[in-house]
Amino acid sequence: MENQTLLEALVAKLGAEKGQIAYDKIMAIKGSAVKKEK
Amino acid sequence: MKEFRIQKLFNWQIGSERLIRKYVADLYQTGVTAPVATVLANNTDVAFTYDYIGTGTYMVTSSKPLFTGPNGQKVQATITNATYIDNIAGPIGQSITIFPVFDNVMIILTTDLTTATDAILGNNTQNAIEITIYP
Repeated sequence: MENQTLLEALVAKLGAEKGQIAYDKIMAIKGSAVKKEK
Repeated sequence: MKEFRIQKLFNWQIGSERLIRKYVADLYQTGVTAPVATVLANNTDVAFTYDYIGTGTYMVTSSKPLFTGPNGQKVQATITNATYIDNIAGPIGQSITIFPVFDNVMIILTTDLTTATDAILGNNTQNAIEITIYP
């Protein structure tokens, strides 16, 4: 899933400010998962 | 002389202890719809609702604030059987992650160990969400 689509879905559910925060936290966890695989 | 043993069978017999409160529900998700929760136990006085956000991404909203900070305080949220491997020789399976993003919102992420995927929750194994609130 494209990141932009995920962000738009979160903004639709949570509003712009909360949506961006939730998106950043999701990406931070996905990012750490990628780092562990290396 | 007869001996009598008094066993504590119910929590209400331990008046001085504050209860640990727990919400447990089996989750099942398929297609592009929100996870369906079958509540097994709930003495939290909190209601939980589920939303579909995107592929492998779902939102759990509580009717009352549970998390006072990004790491949570005195609240533990887990999903049972979060990691599942179908074939140890050529592993395919699932990973499930749950974490709070606001005081009343948690995010669930599901993958097939490679990429974000739907139809994971409750499809390979029983996946129960357990939210424990400690006094």
